[in-house]
Amino acid sequence: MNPAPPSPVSIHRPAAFALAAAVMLVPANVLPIVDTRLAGDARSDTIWSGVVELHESGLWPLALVVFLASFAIPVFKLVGLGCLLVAVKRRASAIRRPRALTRLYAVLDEIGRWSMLDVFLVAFLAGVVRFGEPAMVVPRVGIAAFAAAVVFTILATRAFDPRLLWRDQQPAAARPFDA
Amino acid sequence: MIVGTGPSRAGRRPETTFSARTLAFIRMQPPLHPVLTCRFCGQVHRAIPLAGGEVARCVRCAAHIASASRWGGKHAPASFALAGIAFAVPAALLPFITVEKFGNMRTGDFLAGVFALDQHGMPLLAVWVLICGGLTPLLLLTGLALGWRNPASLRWMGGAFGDWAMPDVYVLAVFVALTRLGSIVDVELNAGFWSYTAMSFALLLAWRTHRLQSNASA
Repeated sequence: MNPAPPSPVSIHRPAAFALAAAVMLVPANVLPIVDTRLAGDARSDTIWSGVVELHESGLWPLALVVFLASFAIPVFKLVGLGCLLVAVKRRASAIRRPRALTRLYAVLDEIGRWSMLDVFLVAFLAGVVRFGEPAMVVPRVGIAAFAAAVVFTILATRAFDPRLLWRDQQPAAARPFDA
Repeated sequence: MIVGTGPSRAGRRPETTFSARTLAFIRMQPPLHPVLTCRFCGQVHRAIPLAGGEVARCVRCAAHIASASRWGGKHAPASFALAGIAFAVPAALLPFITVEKFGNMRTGDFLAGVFALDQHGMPLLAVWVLICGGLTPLLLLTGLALGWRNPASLRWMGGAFGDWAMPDVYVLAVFVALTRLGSIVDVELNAGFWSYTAMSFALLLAWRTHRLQSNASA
């Protein structure tokens, strides 16, 4: 009943997706994600300047949420995936700390979706703030690049097979789990 | 029956071996115990029924592989899913928020955001937001409401689409948008948003109760 063992090729696919995500993060962070016009005052925001602006206007809990979703999570995901891929690639024999790495994978698998926060935020604001000249929110191309980066990180975690971490480990004896 | 010794019969296999069909039949017999495979490390476990509130962890990698619900019977996932579908209708039709600026009133809802992206030249992103925030949650709800008899196809659906349903992320995004807008315009939350939030919770609960059950009985 054991599923088919993972093939050695299966680390190429997550690596390719992770690389694509890393590439897309560059335009996502350099290009503006949203233009805001408010009573004649026009400004163009990148991901980072949006976080800074929230912080400066005193909404620091919000700034923290957006910072985590748009900055910390994508970077943490890419670094974590890198660690997993290196661990699998490097060791010919059994991997040393498979439990910790499996937990890391479970965390990466869980948090990735929250990066979509900024995309939904821009989409919703653009749908609401459409007063024409006095107040307008216009999505810019950076948000599309960011969405693509998020999709690629999710595809990368999906493509990674955590059973690779357990390739050469002994099956555990049938005993109750302790600590 | 006349047994010939001609060349045409020389290659015949002896009758005592199993035919391929018999072997296939033997392989298809279910194992003695129901088997539960850890989705993280592939370790195979013998599945036993769990008591309410109990959690099963993988003996090798310690991942959480099954737990038994304290509440909710066999029909809990379908009930939550039906509730979610009922909430999805007002969520799609009613406005999420009303904003007022310079005497102008404007409402915003889920589809308005999608159309705005499309109007500003990002049709793909518009489709993507529609899929993640609207279509996939609805698909999962429908599957959970209808497919409780067939756990295998539900598990396939969860694996294929579960990652792409993000109504909870959308709810958080609306909260962030609300706080942000609140500093520049007058904002009011409307019924559409609460319906959407309820739909999101219903999906969460339906999926959770389903997962607990399907794992425990796997």
